[in-house]
Amino acid sequence: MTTRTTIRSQGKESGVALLLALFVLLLVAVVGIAMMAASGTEVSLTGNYRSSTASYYAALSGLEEGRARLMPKDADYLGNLSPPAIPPIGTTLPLGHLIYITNPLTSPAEIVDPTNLGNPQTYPDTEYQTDFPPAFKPPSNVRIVNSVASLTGQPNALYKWVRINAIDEWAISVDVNDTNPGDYNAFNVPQIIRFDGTNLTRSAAPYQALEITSLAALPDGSRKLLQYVVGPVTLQIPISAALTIAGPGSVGNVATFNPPPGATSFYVNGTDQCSTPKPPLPGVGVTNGNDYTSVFQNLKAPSPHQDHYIGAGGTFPNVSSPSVAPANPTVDMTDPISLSNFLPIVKNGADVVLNGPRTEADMPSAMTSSNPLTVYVNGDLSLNSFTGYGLLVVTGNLNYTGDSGWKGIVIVLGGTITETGSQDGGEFDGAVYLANLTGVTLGAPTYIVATPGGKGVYYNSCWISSSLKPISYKILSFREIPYP
Amino acid sequence: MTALTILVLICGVAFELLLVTMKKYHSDSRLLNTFQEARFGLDQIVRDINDSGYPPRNQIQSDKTPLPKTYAATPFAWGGTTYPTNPCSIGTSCTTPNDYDLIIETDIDPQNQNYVEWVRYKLIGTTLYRGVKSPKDNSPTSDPDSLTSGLLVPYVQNVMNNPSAAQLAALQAAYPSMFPSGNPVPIFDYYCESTPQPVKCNGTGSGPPPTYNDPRHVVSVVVTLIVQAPASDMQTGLPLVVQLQGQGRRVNPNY
Repeated sequence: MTTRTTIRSQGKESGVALLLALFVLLLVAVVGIAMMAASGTEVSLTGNYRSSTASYYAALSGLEEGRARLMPKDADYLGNLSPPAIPPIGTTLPLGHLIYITNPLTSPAEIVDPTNLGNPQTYPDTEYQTDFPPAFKPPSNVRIVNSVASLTGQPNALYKWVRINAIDEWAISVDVNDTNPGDYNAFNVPQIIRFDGTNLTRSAAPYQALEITSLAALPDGSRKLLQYVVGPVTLQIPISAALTIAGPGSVGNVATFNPPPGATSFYVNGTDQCSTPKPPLPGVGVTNGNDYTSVFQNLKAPSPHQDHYIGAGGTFPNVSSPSVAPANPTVDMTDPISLSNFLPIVKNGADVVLNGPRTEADMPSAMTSSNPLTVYVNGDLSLNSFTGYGLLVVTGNLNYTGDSGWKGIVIVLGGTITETGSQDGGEFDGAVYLANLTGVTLGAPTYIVATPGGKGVYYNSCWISSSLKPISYKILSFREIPYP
Repeated sequence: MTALTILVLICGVAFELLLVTMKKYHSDSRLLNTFQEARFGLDQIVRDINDSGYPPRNQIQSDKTPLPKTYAATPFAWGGTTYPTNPCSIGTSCTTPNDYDLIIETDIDPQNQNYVEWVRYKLIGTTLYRGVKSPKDNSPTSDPDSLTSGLLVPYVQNVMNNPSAAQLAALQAAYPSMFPSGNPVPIFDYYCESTPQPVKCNGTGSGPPPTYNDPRHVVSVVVTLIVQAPASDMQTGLPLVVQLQGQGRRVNPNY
């Protein structure tokens, strides 16, 4: 009996080890799974946060590519494509005409076709359909170009496409001319929106506003759709005299301008030489009383040529402390700090930036009367028998021969303009500004004229206007749009 | 007998391990919930700041006088009767914006065509409240502070940026570097326009005007959220806290 019982007991216990092993294994598995679940959730949450931010900045990157490629000075200017993808600044991109910059992944290869509204895999532009129904009619109005790498050899940020288009009130949900205040159902469509330099407008204005929209999509599915409204901005330089000489205004530290009697052909004329003239400006402008006294005394009789300095008011010599300025000037020409801040703005927007000293040989060959340029010279500039066109900013001194000139605006901040030699016939048409900017303080400026002196400086609003080209596309508004 | 002893030991270790893991799991779950709540809160705040000031006044012709509710007069509104013409000074005279209170002026949902809203975030005690006045008041001189204060609803709870003295002591003991010098940590840190780069809005910037404590000239806001889980760590007894930081950048013009 005893033996049988023992045998039975051993037989009953023979599976317990397996059960216990399975039980322990189960416990370990539960613990492991719990730990994996916890860490997995954490990784997932952190990843979502990161991808949301990454897609936002990727879309911003797309917007900036679109904005940069609107500027003619950009190496990848959309207008340089053949045929041009965008009309020149100052002409109108019609409503319904679109430019897409696409940026598909190359590995793995993908197709980006924002016009294919039926295929969610190609990143359709459903937002445009909302703004301008029916979208993409006719398809020939849609131009698709490739993105360009912002860093050579590096892939761009993960934006898929960037759209550039003209806008009307419906597209931006704003009653631009306030015809139906507060009524979202009474927009004026389709009427193109323009930009007057500070605000959107439905009135006539030289430039139009454009909409730039960018979609970014990350491999994990995070998407962002961002939008700018942009408009071209030009420098607003206060022109208040044909020739402005700005000194510090302190006693004993005054502007000097004393053409010799032999400067028989040298004039400074504030009467507008443009075919559709604006009101006359002073011939010679100064910015403080001490400079006025100094310059006026230099030019008046017994100087034989006091009648060479003419302008608003008709008195000789025509010297005044002018106060004409645009509503929102880019720079206060009397404030050295403002002038200092103005320089990088010009430099960033310039067609050509040169480190001085330079001569006429360094002037861009593309600069013509029909293509005035912005030239920034960081240092001194000498011009010999040369005529330039556009906006010239010289941080050093300007030397020129009497047969040289410039048509547009000349700003010299090194303190001295010197006309040299015996040549004659050159003239400055537009406006000239002279100051002596040292750091953030003004010193005494000097304008030196030789014999016979060249033809001098003539106010010309047409040349001034043509020299102030857009320097960038300004962001007028920004918003994030839900993307389905 | 030996096998049984070993088995009991293994089971004991396994159960102890399970217990520890379960405690850890529960603590982490609470922390993750807190993290998630803080993250969503931060995400929305940053997004609202990014969109601040939409649509700006420049979207409407300069010769018109549009209804105030149709455009953003300023990206960040301030309290008092001087809105929107005479700004207060951040850090001194502003009731809002301040370290724990911000009113964003923007159209948060332009697709719904329901005008510009005031979106307010305000820390009261340890709860961050959010309120939306939609649309913003159509009177040009209304006080955004008083008109949004009754609309606040709890948004993120257990926010410890400005804790009580007792809470601060406990948190400092657990996380010595979280509160530098034992001071509260602002939720909103403002940076104003300046050259060559933005500076903290405390009036110490350099360069030409605008002034450096003007809500109209805030260009970015660094948002810091310190959020504590409802329960402490089950193993250590220390408070469970997450600290998240984001930065919102104003893109829209400030006029």
